[in-house]
Amino acid sequence: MKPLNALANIKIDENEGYALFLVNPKIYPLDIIYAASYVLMDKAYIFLDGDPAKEIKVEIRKKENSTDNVKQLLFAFNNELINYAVYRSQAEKNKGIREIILQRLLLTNDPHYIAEKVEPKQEEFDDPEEILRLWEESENKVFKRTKKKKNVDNKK
Amino acid sequence: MLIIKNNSIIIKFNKNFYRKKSVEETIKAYKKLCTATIKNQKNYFLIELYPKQKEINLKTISLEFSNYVLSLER
Repeated sequence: MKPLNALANIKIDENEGYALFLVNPKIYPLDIIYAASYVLMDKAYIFLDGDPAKEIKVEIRKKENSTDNVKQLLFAFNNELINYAVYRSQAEKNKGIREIILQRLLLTNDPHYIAEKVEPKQEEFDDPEEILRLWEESENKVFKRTKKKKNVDNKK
Repeated sequence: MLIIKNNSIIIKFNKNFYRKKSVEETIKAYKKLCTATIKNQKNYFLIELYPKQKEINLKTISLEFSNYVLSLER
């Protein structure tokens, strides 16, 4: 097998229909490799081996029904690695902003938050002489608040 | 990764990349096509697949089997 690239981390055997290459897990973590593998699963068979802390070996084997050749599959896999690595780094950068937006969204829909901020509590009045009456009572002039209270107390 | 025998194929799964749970789930999914045994060997799971019918292409089945396990790792 000849090395395909100048970095010499890719070896390809087109007759057998497979390629072998090494991935540095510090550049492309395991979850990125899983994601890239998942994308190509309908076109190729993918095997992982090696040490996830030092060096990950990836074998890509062409499927019989695949229209792409091994080289194309290999390059597609490498592109997917970069694609997911960029997505991950962008997600890391935007993490703070996303959290703020989500927090704001959750707070806006929180009924306690609305009760406190949007509808402030009504002021409570001191009424030691019990002068204050309910609006309905004062309109009808039938019940006085004090009498009502006394009745309730007597029943108890 | 694949060791081809007369009536069976052995697949080697590195324990650092493939969980036993995923392998077991895949065996369940493929139970109509083949039977399987799991063995532990240091850093690897050795899965031996036996076809249930003679006309089954065991090599293709084993390659699809390994892809299925990998898809469960995501």
